[in-house]
Amino acid sequence: MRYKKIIKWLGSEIPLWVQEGIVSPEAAARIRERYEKKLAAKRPLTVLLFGCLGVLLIGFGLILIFARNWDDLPKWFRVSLAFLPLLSAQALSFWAMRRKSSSVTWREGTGGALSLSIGGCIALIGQIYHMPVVWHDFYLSWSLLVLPVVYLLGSTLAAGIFLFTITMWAASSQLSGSTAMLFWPLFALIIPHLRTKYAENKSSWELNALAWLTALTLTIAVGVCLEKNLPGFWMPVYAALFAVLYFIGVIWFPESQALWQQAYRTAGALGMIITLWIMSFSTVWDDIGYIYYRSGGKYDPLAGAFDYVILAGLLMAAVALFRYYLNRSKKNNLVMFFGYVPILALFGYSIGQFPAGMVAAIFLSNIYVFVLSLAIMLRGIEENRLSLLNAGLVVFSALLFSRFFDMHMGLVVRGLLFILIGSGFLAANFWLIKRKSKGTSRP
Amino acid sequence: MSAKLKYFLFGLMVLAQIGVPAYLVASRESILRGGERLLFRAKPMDPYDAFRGRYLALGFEEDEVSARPEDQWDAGQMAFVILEKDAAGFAKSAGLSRKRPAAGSYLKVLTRSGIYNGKVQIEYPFSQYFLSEKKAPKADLLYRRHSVREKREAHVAVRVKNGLAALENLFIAGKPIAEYF
Repeated sequence: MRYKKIIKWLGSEIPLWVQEGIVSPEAAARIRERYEKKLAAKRPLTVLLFGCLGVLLIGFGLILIFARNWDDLPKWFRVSLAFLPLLSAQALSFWAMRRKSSSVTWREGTGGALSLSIGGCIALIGQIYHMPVVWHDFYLSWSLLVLPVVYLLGSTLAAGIFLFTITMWAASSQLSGSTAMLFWPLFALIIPHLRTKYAENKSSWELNALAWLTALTLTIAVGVCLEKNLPGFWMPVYAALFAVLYFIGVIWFPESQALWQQAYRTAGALGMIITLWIMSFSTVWDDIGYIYYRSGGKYDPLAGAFDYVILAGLLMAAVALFRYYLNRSKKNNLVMFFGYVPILALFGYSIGQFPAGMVAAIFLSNIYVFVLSLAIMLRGIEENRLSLLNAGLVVFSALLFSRFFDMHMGLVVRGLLFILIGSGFLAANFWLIKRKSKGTSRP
Repeated sequence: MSAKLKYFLFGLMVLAQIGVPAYLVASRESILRGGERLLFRAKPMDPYDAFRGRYLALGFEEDEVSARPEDQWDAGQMAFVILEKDAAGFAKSAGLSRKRPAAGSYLKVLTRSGIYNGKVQIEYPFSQYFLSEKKAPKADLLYRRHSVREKREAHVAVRVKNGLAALENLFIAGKPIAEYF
């Protein structure tokens, strides 16, 4: 609030400076722009978040109201009604682009509304003319029409809707018996936008939101796009995907105190841990491997072959990024441990297909999750970061609990272990907080 | 990006965004106005499957088409069904082809099965009739009562042009469905 007042005061002063010849008119304009930009950046995130939520809710509400199908009204009127939200959103977006190009709220609001109204309009026209819905066509045309909104308005919400529509396209295309390979070029269309946002500011909330959204999209889409001819193929694929995300986060994004502010690093680490954790259950290894190869029917041979391309691409990227990291001067052990996860997953999957290797694969997965949890905790202690220490403890307890339910231990033993883990949590936190307060913490 | 280029691209975007739904409207209107009018007798649908919220799922008696075994049809393929019109205006399927027929009435459809007893099941591109939430349950009941084998009183009027179809209306016992409300 005080900042706003200063800006206002500045706004009234600057013309006087120009009049008195202290600054040139161009310099005045630049000063004004600088502080207005700063003010826009200062807007609290919550306001914006709720603004976006509001736009989404209103958009969905309008779609639902129109979807009620006013079949008593004449057709030309219903067709016009279907176009109304689209046309007004276009007009608002144009106005926002011209007048309010620096306002995040306007950009996101109009961008989100426009993106939603495109899908709404096409769906309504389909309904008015009783056209059976062909979902993959619907999502594909929607996504391609949203794409210019992302680039012309620079709206993050529109980018989110684009990612949603291409994910839905991949899912419906796969469900309709067709393949989803086109997902990858579609996904590539959003990357220049990420690069622009990255060049603007590496630690902006927008970039972080985009990073979370792309990580989520890839996590879902890789699972959807795999033709799954080879049961269990997801193990090395997901391990490699998460390793790639993790290293992108580690190498090119600043490390932040809060885990959620470093999307790729957190999503990648979490994903790798969860992949290995799932591999540590004995039940997932039933019916896995080349003996259970699936083909014919809905299994497309071309898309099935493309699965190997996906794996090879992700693995090579993961290894290349790891090597790039190894060449850096400043390294830390935790990152090193994560770097080996995709190779380990591939090795585990390769030997786990055989009865003799299965036990070894399960054992390896267990040990490695355990090692990772220790490494995370140690790193937390080293850096005095409670978030990391607790994350390590959570991983450790998850592993312990899951092994427990495997092993059918007695109630007393379980009870004792719960108490032990609980005390461990408390003690570790207490100790770290005490150490922090002694002043050894990082600035 | 200069402002002028940005406005130009914005204009292109607006045109594309309006163009896609407008094209859908125009193509349907053109079929509805200039297409040949054919009637398709409805058949009963699985009652649990028939009512899905805001539309009626329609099934048609002419959804099995005789095909030559050497054509080796499989489910999910694109096909052209050749249509003939009887004296009362009802459509009869007269064969299935991979190539677009040169003349006559035909429709682009998807196959739903391979050849079984010399016939291939197809899905007509007008299998959904959208209604408001309030009307859908009653319409569903009407449709089910009048499409049973003993009655066969439900049919749709469809306009067909260049292999594309647009649903004109749903008739129950000779009356458009709207007249029941």
